[in-house]
Amino acid sequence: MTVQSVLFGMQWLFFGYFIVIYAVYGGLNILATVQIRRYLQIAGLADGDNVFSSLDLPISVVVPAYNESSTIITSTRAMLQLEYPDYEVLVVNDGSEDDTLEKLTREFHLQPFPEAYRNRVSCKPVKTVYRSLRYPSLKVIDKENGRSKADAINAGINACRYPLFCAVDADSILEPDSLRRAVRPFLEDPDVIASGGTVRVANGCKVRGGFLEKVGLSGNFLAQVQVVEYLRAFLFGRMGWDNLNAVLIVSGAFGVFDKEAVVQVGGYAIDAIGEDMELILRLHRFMREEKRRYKITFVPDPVCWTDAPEDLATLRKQRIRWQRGLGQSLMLHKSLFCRRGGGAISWLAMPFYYVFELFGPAVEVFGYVFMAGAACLGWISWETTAIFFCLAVGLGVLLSTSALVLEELSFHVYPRTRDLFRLFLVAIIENFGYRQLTVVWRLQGLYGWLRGTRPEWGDMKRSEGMAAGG
Amino acid sequence: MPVNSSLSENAAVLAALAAAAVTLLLFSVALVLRTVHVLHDRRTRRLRATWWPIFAETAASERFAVDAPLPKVCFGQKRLLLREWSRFRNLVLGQAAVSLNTLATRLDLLPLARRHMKRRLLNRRLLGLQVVGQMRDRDSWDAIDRVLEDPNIALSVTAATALVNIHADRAIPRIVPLIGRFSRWPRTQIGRILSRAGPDIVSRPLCREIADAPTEAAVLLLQFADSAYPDDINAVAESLLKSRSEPAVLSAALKAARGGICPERVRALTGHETWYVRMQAASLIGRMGKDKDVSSLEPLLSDSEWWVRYRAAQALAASPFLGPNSLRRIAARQEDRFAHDILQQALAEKGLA
Repeated sequence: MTVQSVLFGMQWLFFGYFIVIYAVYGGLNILATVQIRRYLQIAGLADGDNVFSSLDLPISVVVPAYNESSTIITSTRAMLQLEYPDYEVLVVNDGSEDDTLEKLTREFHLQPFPEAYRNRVSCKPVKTVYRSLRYPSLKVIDKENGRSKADAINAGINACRYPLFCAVDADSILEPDSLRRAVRPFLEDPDVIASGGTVRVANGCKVRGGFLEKVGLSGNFLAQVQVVEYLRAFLFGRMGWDNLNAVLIVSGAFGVFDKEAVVQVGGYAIDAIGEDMELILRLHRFMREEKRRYKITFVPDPVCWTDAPEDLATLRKQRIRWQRGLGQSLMLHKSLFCRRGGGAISWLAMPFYYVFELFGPAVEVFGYVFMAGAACLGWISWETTAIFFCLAVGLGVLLSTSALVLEELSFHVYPRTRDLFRLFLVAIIENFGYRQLTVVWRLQGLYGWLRGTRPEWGDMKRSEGMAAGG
Repeated sequence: MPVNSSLSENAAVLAALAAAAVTLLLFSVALVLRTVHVLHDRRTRRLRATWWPIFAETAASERFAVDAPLPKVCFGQKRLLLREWSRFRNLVLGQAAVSLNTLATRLDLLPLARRHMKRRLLNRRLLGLQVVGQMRDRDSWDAIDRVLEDPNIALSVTAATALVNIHADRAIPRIVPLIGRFSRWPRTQIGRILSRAGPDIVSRPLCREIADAPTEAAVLLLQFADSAYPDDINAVAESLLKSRSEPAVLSAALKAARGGICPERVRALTGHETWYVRMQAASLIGRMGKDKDVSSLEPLLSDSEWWVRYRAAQALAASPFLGPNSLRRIAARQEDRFAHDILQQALAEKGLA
């Protein structure tokens, strides 16, 4: 085998890799378009008539809070004002070292409550359960710090009264009708055990009293790129997989679950880095092993808004953590991979996530280094290198643009046409530096996961809109 | 030694060019969609500014419905007008709805709605179905009925709503048996259709269907018990409790019953092997509110299942025959810690702790 044939083979390998990954994304895009159209038809039916009935399922909103003193009052107030007929809010104070509990006690007139607390899923001991004298639907669970969000949510699950629970981050901004939209799949299909909603980037939006007042696009480049990334991830990523009942992630920022299903699998894994994905994979595995009918679904409506990192250091830590969480979750549930009778999740989603999401950064970085190195050594021409780079960029832009089309087909969240142009521009620019940077971070995450070191948590700096109104 | 890679290079060039072309095309599509959306929004706002005041006045005084001069509607605006009329019509009932229907006749909207029903585009078909229903167009009954069993849920549910709007007496006996078969019909929508038709029309066909339905359908139909008269639901629940043994049916029947059914059978079910049957039995005993049931609820406070304990405790706390002191005495005499804790919680929820 000559160097020439090896190089030739490598070029075809990278070329094939790009073609396959984008072919899968293209397929997901088509599936997502079909699914969103179908969803909007039915959603349109219900929208004309927003009267609640006794058939709406009651729901417990679980809000884990650790050192959330600056936002907890506003976000709890916002959660108490959601448009839903029957729900309770459970704020879990996960051993905060600041005055989160004191603020909650003062603001909501909390009083110890003799809750017959059940330890159905494991978590650190609960110290006291409080009930608000002003808001009967508000409970605060004060527990020992469990060093993970999962532990706090588990404590909330143990205290839930209702058959569904919604896990939501304390700093998430919910749409007033988010619960109604996320619960709808449970009403329409008794097989549904989990439902996720689209999370959007709140940077640049005007927030008041814990609610979104006006949608806008941040002036920060990193926030803008993340808007495009979130559109890609949620609108056609998850929506496409939803069509095949192969959704692998329900975002930790907002997700509604059938409580009994989650209890049966043992609740959230307290030592998981990506506890949201790990839970969904465990649910898939359990249901398939038990041969039960189930559906994990996804609603495309923008139901939840979250603050995205606006500085490179925080973003880097976030991406490294996500990649490690992905590796851990996929490895923990490797038995789902290409398993007989496993359906689309085993034969499509899991292989895709392994090859393209988990090990993709390694292939991409190797590809960039190899092409540049080969060009420097004169093994391949600079034209060839440039052509392959253009191909990678072209397909990346194509993907982001298709997400913009889906957005225009469905929700038109960004009202100004100027924003559409800005997002298109960002979709092009992100391929020159940003994308390569995130690939390197993901590779660091992959390496860290393989070595088994603990991930770092970055202190999230709030964007202006959130800091002012959230 | 540069590699001769013309084939892969050519393929990459072609793919990159194709990607660039498709990207530009897609972005153009996005821009077109945005433009269409903006224009549509603008036209809708303009049309609404002209017509909603007329709709409102028609609903209030009938003047426009009969002979007041109306603004001219060009052909291109007709569909938009149909949609806006339908939106407004959804908001009113009674005489206002009749006046709006008269106005729609004056505007010649019915033939347009009928044509929409036959279109291939789903949103037009849905609009057509909705409007013929709102205008109570009996001539369209057969055409709507054909859509009722369509696999597309949006179409079949809209058809069901239209039939109920046209002739509820005739529609409900046709729709109720389908509820058990079409388990994917949105329950909230069906609940609304049934509650709009009212218990006079719904009660009998619903209860008849529940009585004869297989397990899954019976459980599903029992969820709409609120749409029937309490006496009818109690009767069918009682018959199910006597004749059926599936835990899902027993639980659904206990949940649907409003009281006033054979207490012995309900008490017997507090010992059922399935926990959710025991839980619903405890709840129903609480709703029936008989003084001698205190003794059948007390043992449930020590049940192995939290929900059974909780419902029993809630039933006791809500009992009109037990005052705060009696409840505290019951709590105090519980030797089981779980029984004591759960009653304390129920008392605290009632503000009696």
